[in-house]
This record gives sequence, C-alpha cells and structure tokens, in this order.
Amino acid sequence: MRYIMALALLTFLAAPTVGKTQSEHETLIATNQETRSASLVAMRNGLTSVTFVWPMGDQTPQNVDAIQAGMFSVLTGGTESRTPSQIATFMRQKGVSKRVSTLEDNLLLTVSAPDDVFPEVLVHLENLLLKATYSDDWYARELRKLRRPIASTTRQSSDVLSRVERFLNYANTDEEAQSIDPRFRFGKPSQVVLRSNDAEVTVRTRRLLAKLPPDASRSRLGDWLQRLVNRNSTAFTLPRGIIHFADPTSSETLLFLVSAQEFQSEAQQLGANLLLDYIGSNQGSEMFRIIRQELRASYDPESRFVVLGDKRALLVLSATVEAAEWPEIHGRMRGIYRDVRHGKVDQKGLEIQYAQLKQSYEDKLFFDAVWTAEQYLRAHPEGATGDIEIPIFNAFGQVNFDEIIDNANDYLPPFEDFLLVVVGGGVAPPADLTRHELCSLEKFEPIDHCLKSLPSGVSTP
Amino acid sequence: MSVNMRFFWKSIPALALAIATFATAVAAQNVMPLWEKGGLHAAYVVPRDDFNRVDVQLIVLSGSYDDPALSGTAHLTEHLAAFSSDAAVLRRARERDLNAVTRSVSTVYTNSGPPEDIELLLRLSRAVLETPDLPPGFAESEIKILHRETHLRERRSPYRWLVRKALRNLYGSSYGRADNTIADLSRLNLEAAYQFHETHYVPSNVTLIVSGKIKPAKAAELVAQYFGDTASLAAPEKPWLDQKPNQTLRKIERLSSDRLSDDVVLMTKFIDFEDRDTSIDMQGDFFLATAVLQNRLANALRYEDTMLFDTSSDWFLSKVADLEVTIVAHPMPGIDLDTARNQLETTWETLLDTPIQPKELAQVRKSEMVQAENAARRPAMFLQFLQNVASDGFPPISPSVFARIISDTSDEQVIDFAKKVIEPSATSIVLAQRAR
Repeated sequence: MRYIMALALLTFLAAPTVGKTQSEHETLIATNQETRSASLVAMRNGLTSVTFVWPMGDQTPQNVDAIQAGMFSVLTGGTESRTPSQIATFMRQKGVSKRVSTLEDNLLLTVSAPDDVFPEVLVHLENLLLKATYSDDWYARELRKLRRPIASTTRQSSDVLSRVERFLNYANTDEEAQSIDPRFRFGKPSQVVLRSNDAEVTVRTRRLLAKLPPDASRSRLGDWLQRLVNRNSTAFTLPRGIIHFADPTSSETLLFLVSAQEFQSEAQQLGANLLLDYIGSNQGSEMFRIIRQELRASYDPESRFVVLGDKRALLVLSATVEAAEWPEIHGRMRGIYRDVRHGKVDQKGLEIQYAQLKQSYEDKLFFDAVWTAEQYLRAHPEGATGDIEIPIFNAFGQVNFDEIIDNANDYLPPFEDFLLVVVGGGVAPPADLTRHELCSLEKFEPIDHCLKSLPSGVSTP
Repeated sequence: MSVNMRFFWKSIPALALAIATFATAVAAQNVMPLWEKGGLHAAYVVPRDDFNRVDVQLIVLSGSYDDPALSGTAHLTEHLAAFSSDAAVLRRARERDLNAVTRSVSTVYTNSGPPEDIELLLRLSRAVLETPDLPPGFAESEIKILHRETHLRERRSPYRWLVRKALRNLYGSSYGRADNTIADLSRLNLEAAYQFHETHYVPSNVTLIVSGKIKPAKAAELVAQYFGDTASLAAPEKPWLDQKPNQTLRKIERLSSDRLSDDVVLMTKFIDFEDRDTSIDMQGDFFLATAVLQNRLANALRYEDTMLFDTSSDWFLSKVADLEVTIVAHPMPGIDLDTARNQLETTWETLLDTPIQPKELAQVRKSEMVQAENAARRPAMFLQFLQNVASDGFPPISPSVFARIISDTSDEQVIDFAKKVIEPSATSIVLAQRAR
C-alpha cells in the first residue's frame, strides 16, 4: 500500500499574521512561529476536514485537562453573537463534527463537515476561536466531564491503558507546575492539516489563520529547541514489575500486561503489530482460541497494539478471569506469547491478520480525519514539504511474512519485560512472579501511584 | 423503534450533511421486499454501491425483554446460536469475527464481507436458525463465559443496573424488564436456552436484510435458495407488550453504591397512546417529536443551566405504541440529588409551556435529515439505521426512506405526539448516590 498525499501547501507560510494583545486574565495557546500546513488526500465520504495543532509545551496532566476543557468551552460555550444553543443548532443543521484530542505535547482540534458547507463552517470556527465568551461555570462543567475513572474500581482494560498512556505522555512533567487560569484563547496553531479538494476552503483557511493571534511572549528559538529536546529525550519506558490491587470481595481478576516499545523501522513496527494481532487481536487469534474457546477461562482475552508515536507503540495483552485462576491463565498467556515470539506461527493466519490490518488502515485513511492527521503528525512532527508520504503505509507494500516469522524474536520484547497489572480477587502473585518488584494498591487508589514508584524498565529495541 | 441521545457532548459525534435533499450527495437507498423467503417474517434487499461490501442482518424479533423466568436466557441463546453457526459453516476459525448482539426487543446477527462472499454470509445467517449444535461440554461452559461478560458489562456501565431497577419499579415485573440479571446468573441453563431457541428462533419471528453491493435480482435468487425451505410457524407470544403500569404510578428508590463514579438521577416514564395499537404509522411523529423534546431538554439543562454536568436520554416506542423514556442526569459536585431531581422533573413538566413553532419544527426536520444522511456515510451506522425499526418487525427504514417519512409528517402530528408525551404519566425514579 503506497499513498502519496497531495502537495504540502507552503503558501500558507506566507500568510500575514494579525497580532492581538492577550487579555490580562487569559491564557493564550498559540505558537509564535509560522504555521506549517499540509494538504492530505481527500476523504471518500463527502466530508472535508481541517485539523489545527497547538503546542501546549510541558504541562502537567492536570493542566492538559484544563486546556482541553478550555477548548471544549470555546467550542460550545457561546460567543459575542451566538448563544450556546444557537451554536448547537448550527452544528446540527450543518452536520459539523468537532473532535478534540492530544498528541504528545500538542492539542488537536479536528473539524469535519460536508464538502458543500465547509467554507461556511470555517467562518463559524473563526467566530468561536476569536469571540468565545464562555462562563466559569461552563468551564467547570467541561473540566468535570474530563475526570477519568479509577481503573482499579472499573477493572476495564481500557481504563488501565488510559492511565498508562497518560503516565508515558507526562512522565517528565512537574506535578507541582503552576495552575492555569480558566480563561483560554486559542491563537495561531503550529500546524494545520487540511483534507479538501476545494480551493475556496484553502483560501478561507488561510484567511482564518491570518486572524489568529500569535503568542508573542514565546521565543521562536526557544520553541524550536524545546521541541528538539523533548523529541530526543522523552523516555518511552514503563516500569517493570507487578501492580496488584487485591479485592477479596471480587470473584474476577483483570490481567493486564503492557510493554512500551520503540522500533528501528516501520517494517519492524508493522511486523510486531501483525504478530501481536496474531496473538490476540480478534476471534481467530491464539488467545481467543486457547484461553476462551479451549480453556473457557475468559470472555475478553485480547491483545492491542497502540501506536503512540513515530515508531513507538504499547503492546498490550489482557483478559478478565476467575480470580483463583489468574496465575494459571497468566502462565498460558506467557506460553502463547513465547511460542509466537519463537516463530511458532501459522503463516496463513498471519496473512489473514495482514489483510485485516491493511483494510483497517485503508478505511481509516479515507474515512477517519483524526486518525489520519495523527498518522501524518507522528511521521512529520516538523511538517513536510513536497509530496507527503507516511512511511508506515509504504511498509504494507513491502511486507514479507517469512521475514516477520523468522524475526519474531527481535520484533517482540521478552515476556519478562512486560509490566503486569493484576486487579481484583484475593490471590497474591505466586512465587515464580515475586522475584519482580511488587506494588500494592489501596482501594480507590489510581494505578499512577505504582507506575511512579516501581523501578523503571528499559526499552528493548 | 428507538432513539438514543446524549445531549451533553464531550465532542460532537455527528458527521452529517446539511442539505435539503439526499439526491445530491448520497444515492437513495431503496428498501425492496423479497417475496421468495420461505417462512421468514420478512426479507429485504437494500442495494447501494458506495461501499465495496455486502452485509446480511438476521434479526430475531425477540430480545432480553422476552426472557422467560430466567434473565439472560436470550443472551445465552445468542452465544450458542452464533458459535454453532460458525462451527457449521466455517473451515478456519481465523477467517472472521462473530458479530451478534442481544438488545431489548431483538437479537441481531450481522455477517459482513466482500460482495463475492455473499453466499457464505447467507449460509452463516441461515445456520443461526438451526438448533445449536456444539461439542459436548462447550455449550455448558459457555454459561461461565456469559457470567464473565455480564459482570464485565456491569462494571463498565453501572447505569445498566439503575435502568433495570427503574424499569422493574415501573412495570413491577419479575422477568424481562426486571432487576435479576445478576441473581439469575447462577441458574442459567442450556435447557432454557434451547427452549428459547425453539420458541423464538422460528422463521416467522425473523427478519432478514441484505444490504450493500448486490443486485436485487441476485439477492432475491440467493435468499430464495437459502431461506426458501424455511417453514412458516407460529410466532412466539410477547407478554411484555401487555405490561402497562398505572398512569398515576410514581415510585422513587434511593440507594448508595461504590460502583458509581458519580451521583445519578434516573427517571423513566411510560406513556400509553391508548387510542393506538400499532406504531407503524407513527414513525415520523416519533422521530420529530422526540427531537423537539430532546432539543428543549438540552436547552434547559445544558445551555441555560450548569447544575448537571452530563445527561443522556433513551426513547423507545414499542410496536404497540407504548413509549418508554429514560433520562439519566449527573449533578455537578455540590448539587444534591433531590435538587437535581426537582430540576429534571420541573424541566420535563414545562417543556411545552412555550408552544412548538413552525420555525422550530423546520429546524428539527433539517437536523433529522442531516443525521440520516450522516448514517448513510458509514457502513456501521447505516446498518444500525436499517436495524432500528426492523427490530419491531416493521419494514426497515433506510436514510433516504426516512427523509420521505419526515417530509410526509405534518406539524400537527408532531405537536400532538409531543403533547401526549408530556402529559402526566407513570414515573419511576432512582436517586443513586456514589458511596464515598
């Protein structure tokens, strides 16, 4: 699979900037540099989209939540000329979708709407970004909605994963950092990713960018250096050991194994992804076949390959099992993983995983604006010029199943490198696991406590 | 038919189109009945070329509301029929994923694939109707798997539990709409599931929808080939359709639990359209009136007030024209449950104090059209759209058919429906406090 995106629109770089004085009690999220812009291949569902990328700098997780709540408030809380209700009505009538997400130290806003109304939607967006007038109560409510569940209570693998991702994203930040004023303004973005074939959309996007204020207080050189330092020094490792929340009142235990991996190439990343899918990504996988269908031990055995950065991913194995049986099932998961890592792989099965993953990438490329923008930004964090390629897509066209199976031992980390999270039940980790560091959680205590206190592991390339 | 609406968004989920007609952006999706269908309740083809795939939805017109004395029986039957179907048809387990779900009034089996797989997909669907045949011990141990799934879902969404409590209090029922999902787990058994299959998985209680990249004539030929031999048998009784609470009922239950992450006010209402015995001709009224009321709820509870931080609602109009509305509200910290309940009830009672205006209805019509077109853009949403009304045994509604229904519904019909909804009616409220 090889997709060349449309030419990057460097013309945006020449757009003039209209500065604006920052209000006294207002936090301006903006860059002081020129906005780097790219135009990617149009979507196939009749929608146009634009993604704005704002650098947040080093922030605590709490401040990132605050900035996100600020963005949600700007998008929904009213403007000088429109009430929140009028904004909601406009959204429904025009079919506008707005998604807010974070990618490393950036805040992303992706706006999608049908092709024919998108120019009008850009005017609406300009109004929101420049003239938002949300109340403090509105902001407080948006912030409240961002509160995350306690994984040891919900015992959902997705909640544990969310905590682990958060830990990795903000491992280097200072928890005691200064809090941010709730009055937010979003100015000049560092990057814009556009998906449209309409010249009018390009013109209007340029006009909008010209009106967004830069953060004049930021040093251009400082921003550039900070990005460089962050990129080169951000640790991508998880602690090793066991996190255990014993809940004797529960008959079930969640087993969650996770490893943070950096890959030397996209081919290696794709190979690891396919092998992990083979282990547990769907109902034809080894974990489903053995743990669910043969052992009848779990409803939800699965693996997940979670891409978090350029050639960086989390490898996850999980299953909810009978509390008393978790050590045995853990042993079976280890056996499945080791077998695959040692090359015990049915090539036909791997080819089916490949076909499914390739289809998934193609579907997302043409139907999911947020996912595609994230792929582009991970591959080109500093922007791109000329024809834009996303290397992981090219890797699909060069896949070699024999090579993946032969190199499984290198593509996948040793099982012992995984952090083990055990939630629920009363059975303590058995003797063969107690040589690992153990951190016990109290009820209602987030697993962050243990992620910080366990000794750091080493990323295995 | 049902509408589920979350009107407090973290991000706006809709990807939709705001144009007056469907013709310009997405081709119309005609719903064509297939007549050579054996004993099936109904069969349809909805051809469209936008996506290079074909989907077969087999809808058993019975779900968890049809559970017999043991809650969870419909769900267990779904597991057994799905695995049995795969085992009978597939040669390699890794070939595809199962996609089956048990809803309140239906059980839906979806088989999807490239157009050339259509015969395989129909064979998989047909096999669901055969008595489940699984290896010794496997079927029995599936009960254990069901235990795990149920507990997992309960933890993921404790509101399921609160909804069950509210429905039990509303209907006074001891099965179906009852709160015995967990208590009955240990009593689930294969005999009950096989009996459920024999009673409810009869062709007369099944609708088949073939949609996607397929010629109507080809679909007709293949449906006749694979389902033409099915026998027409008596459809099962549905006693839950006769449950009608006293309209003056007002029940409030208070509880405290550490399963909850927030305090919750949950209000369920039952509205009896006593002069109607079918909802087949009420679809436009239902979708437009509920949209008006949902907008007004959002205006009052979100846009003009900040006491509640999250609210969602679920609207279900049964095939016999009984409406069940459930609203879930989470108060902000510092707001006690009774204050939040009062806010919710007062808002509900005064929703139509300002009469519905033609301009408001015009806006709602446009929004509904946009949402329908949005559904046509994504395969999964399109399937859900078809499935919605078809789960009641009515013909499926495609987004373009929906557009016709919306334009054929008069303002007066919508206003009358909305007024009926807001009249005093049977109410069940749960005030659930998060234990700290």
